[in-house]
Amino acid sequence: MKCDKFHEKIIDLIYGGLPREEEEELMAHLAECDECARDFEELKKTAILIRALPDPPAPVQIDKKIMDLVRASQEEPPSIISRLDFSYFMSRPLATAAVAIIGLGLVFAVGWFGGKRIGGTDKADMTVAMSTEDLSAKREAAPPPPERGMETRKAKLGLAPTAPSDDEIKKAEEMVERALSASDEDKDANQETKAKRDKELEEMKADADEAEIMARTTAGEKEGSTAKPLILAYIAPEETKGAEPLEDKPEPKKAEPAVAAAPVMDTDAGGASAKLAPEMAPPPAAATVAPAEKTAEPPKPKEETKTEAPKETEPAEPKSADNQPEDFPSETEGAGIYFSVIIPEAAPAEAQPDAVKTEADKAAEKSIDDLFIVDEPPIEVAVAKVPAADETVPPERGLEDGFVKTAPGAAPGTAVPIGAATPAPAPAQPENVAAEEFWGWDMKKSKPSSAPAPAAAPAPTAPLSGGNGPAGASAKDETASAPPPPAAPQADESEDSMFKFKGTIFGKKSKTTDYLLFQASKNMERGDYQKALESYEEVLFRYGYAKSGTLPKPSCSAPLKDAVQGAMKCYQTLGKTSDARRLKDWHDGSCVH
Amino acid sequence: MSDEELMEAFGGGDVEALSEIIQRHGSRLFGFLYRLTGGRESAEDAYQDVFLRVVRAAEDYRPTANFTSWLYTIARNVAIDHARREKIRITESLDDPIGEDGGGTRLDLMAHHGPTPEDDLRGRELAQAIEEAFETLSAEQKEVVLLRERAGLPFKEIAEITGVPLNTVKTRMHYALGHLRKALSQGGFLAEEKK
Repeated sequence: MKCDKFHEKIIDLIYGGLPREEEEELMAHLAECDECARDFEELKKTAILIRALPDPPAPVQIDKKIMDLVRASQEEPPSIISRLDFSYFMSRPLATAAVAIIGLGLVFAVGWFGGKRIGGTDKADMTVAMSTEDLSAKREAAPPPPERGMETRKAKLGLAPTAPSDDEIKKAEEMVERALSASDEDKDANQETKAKRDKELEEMKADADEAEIMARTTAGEKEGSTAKPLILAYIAPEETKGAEPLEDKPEPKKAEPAVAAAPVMDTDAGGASAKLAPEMAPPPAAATVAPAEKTAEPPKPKEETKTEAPKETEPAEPKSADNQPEDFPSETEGAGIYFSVIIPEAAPAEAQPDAVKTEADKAAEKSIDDLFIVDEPPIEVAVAKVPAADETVPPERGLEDGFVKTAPGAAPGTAVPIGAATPAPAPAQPENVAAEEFWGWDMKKSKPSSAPAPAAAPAPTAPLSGGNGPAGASAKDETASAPPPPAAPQADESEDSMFKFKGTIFGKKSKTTDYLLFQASKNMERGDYQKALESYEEVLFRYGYAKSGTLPKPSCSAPLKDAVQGAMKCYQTLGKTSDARRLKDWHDGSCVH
Repeated sequence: MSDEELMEAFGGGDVEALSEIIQRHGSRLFGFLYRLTGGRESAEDAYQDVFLRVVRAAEDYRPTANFTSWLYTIARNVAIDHARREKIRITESLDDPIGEDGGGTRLDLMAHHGPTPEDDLRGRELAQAIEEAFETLSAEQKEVVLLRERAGLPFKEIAEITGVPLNTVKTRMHYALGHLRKALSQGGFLAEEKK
């Protein structure tokens, strides 16, 4: 009993930490009790032996690898994604999936109830209301199915011979109202919605009137100007913001469109039920937005001025500065109709040859597809003016920035930001910066027209295509978005590459896997295997290489295969046979083939 | 420069600070993992994981606790993760070849990399006996012994790391030492030493 009490304290005596009094007491007992003294001695000796047991040498290659990774990450900060450990989520797939589903459900719920029927009736209503001339007849027969954005984007460009008369405007308003009410019936719209739309319609009218007045009052000053005003109107049923753009309408200083010669681009694909025609009658109004029936045959003055349309529309091809896809806005963003009214300068009709006219018409028709986007509507009536010839052409801007999508680079007919008094300054050309700063793929460069890649030019992955071509193989996976090879092997990578960073998260750029593979292959080409290896390893780490084993086994996809092959080649070239073996083991054992 | 200062320096962007940390703790940490996981391969994986976690946590590291304690907490968690993953743990034989060249055995490492005993053969036998005895310990006892003897952590911190009361830690240590002592005595090592 007495010994048991001291046994508990022997450990404290061996390792210290025993109060002096207790220590003295224990020592006194050990002096008396041989058994306890022997236990103490042997336990102490055991502890010493264990402590003296040598440690196996730490794996130097792992130390080096860790340091290399850290150094590399210092140079190129890794994305937050790659630094995160998703093992927690990976090990709980059901819980993660459940959370994801709930999250998606919430998103859709918000979009449905809060976002006002995504892709639903409002958009359709507006589309129907503003589409074709025979709309009313169709409505009487049967409620037409809601037209979607693509349909409305087929709208043709029309030219108004003269400014719309009051009667025309009234007629158009009636048609719009009728169409809206008809669509309401179809969509079991309640009274609230109807009242709201009526209100919106009234506001639209008011906006149009206001714009007309402003145009008339300001137009007279600009005589002689060669600039063509471009009117872009976006009408949506949700909110009527039309007044704002009109209030901030750019000063029509340099725009001097003659009323008679003012051509009108409207949404009317087959006889617009609602037309936005600038009231350019006597004064060279900057721009007016007025719903009116589209005239079946545009007068000559319009046609002549239309020759400039191609200039405006051609540049619409390249993406906006924000790299938004051309189909923007998405259906979830809000449906609406963009009316663009291009009021060219009052150029004499005789000046324009017929041939040019036809070409211009075609171009204008083509451009209308880009100009008109019928989807969701935040109500806006945007009026933009075309700067004078000597003015700098404002850049194409994305709708989400409050700019009206238009043909970028169009000489005198480029959209200006909604409400802006002057055209926005042209942004720096993407050039080399594009790949570094833009989000996602560089669509501009991936277009053959803007970034022609000669067939003879060797692809960046050419040297590796025989099995060690990582980028080449990865290109197979993403043929749609895969960038074309650089125009010339010696060309600068940043120019040739259409790869981009995945995004900027917390100020750190994250490269796409394909870009990493591309970089790696370029470095391989240059013989810089060390740099190539860094890129390959970055890709490998994304697939879980050298990470916690709790990660699920990655499937051996093409990019991973490329990275493995490329890294193996680098390892072998650099004489890192152990790393190569380790990678091979991981690939053979941890990947799902 | 203390470990904590090094870690803060690394968090501030000084890469060489991490190198110093690895140099200070790498070997001992690997030994800890090596014995806790029971295999070199697992230990290497765990070792890399530990330092990768250290790197990830560097920016948020605050020297509120002893760095060694923090490091071994990570190491223990990683080792447990590995152990869970490998439900059937394959213990390496001391005679299994180790290293990439396959030139030596685990026993060689034990004997040749620590304090050199006077008698090399005796040292090898002793190391083998300790390793074998160590393998017979329970996981709880093993981690307490390793954290105390290999990491040099005080019992109080071990209790915090393992999440058990201090007395439990001491009891585990006592039983573990008793178990090892018994094994070594049977091998005649303690008796011989005593003689």
